[in-house]
Amino acid sequence: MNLAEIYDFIAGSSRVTPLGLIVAVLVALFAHPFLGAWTAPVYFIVLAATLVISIFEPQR
Amino acid sequence: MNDWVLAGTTFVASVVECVEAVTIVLAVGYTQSWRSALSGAAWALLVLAVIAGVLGPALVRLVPLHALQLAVGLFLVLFGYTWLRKAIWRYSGRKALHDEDAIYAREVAALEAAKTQAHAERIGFATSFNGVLLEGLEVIVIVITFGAASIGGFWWASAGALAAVVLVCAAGLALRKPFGKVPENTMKFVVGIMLLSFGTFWSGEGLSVTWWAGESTLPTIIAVYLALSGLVIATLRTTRKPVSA
Repeated sequence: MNLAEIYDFIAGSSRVTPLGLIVAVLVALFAHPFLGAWTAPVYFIVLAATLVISIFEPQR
Repeated sequence: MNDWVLAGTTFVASVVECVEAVTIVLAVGYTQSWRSALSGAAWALLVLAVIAGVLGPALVRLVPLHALQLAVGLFLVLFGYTWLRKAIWRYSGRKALHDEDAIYAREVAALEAAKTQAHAERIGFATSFNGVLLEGLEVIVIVITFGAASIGGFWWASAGALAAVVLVCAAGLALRKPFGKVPENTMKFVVGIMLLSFGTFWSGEGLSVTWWAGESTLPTIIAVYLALSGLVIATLRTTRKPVSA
């Protein structure tokens, strides 16, 4: 298995899903002082939005 | 409740992968020999059991739960996206449905062509071994990650996977033909929703995100992903594009 195949095994050749995940993690780590109790809903919304966007991403 | 959900999710995921593996083993058995088909499958199952048996408990013992929940959660989110996206594309007609009968026919044709070669027996063994190993790898990853992120989860996840292996193998022995009628896409859809939901919840816990209803937030997460997926499928069905394989 080369790196591309491992990436495909985990992320299914999507470019959007790892990016969305990184954004969600950054929100959870750094936006907590501003968002407070809203951190969890925002974290969830970012992940859910990533799902929707990735579905409309062109299939490779 | 979570333990039963864990076992149920690994059970469904394992049924899907076992169905695909049994198709390959049956193709080898009917075209080459049952000896090479079954020994290849048995060796692959042994390798998978060793991977799960060594890696799973080792992770739980050596890595703190909080760090595991973060790593496992993020991994499950990515894995869940992959399963769910494919299932949604198939539901909405953007991707061809998984056809076990067609896969079986393709495997048989390839094996028939290899039958005349000098090492046909070895090719049969390798096909069966690789098929079971590759299909089983996804199950092992799910079992290990589920087991690692929750206390006692490894045994529940393993039990779910083992039950699926026994059930599908028994059905394969009884029917002796590929499972063309198994609702694979529905099962993949359910697994995708569960992987993504557990991944979201655990990665949040690992990142010290406070869920608004504690553990009871999980059903809400599942419900939202379900509703969202339904909405996307309905939207895609109204704007159909050509099917890709």
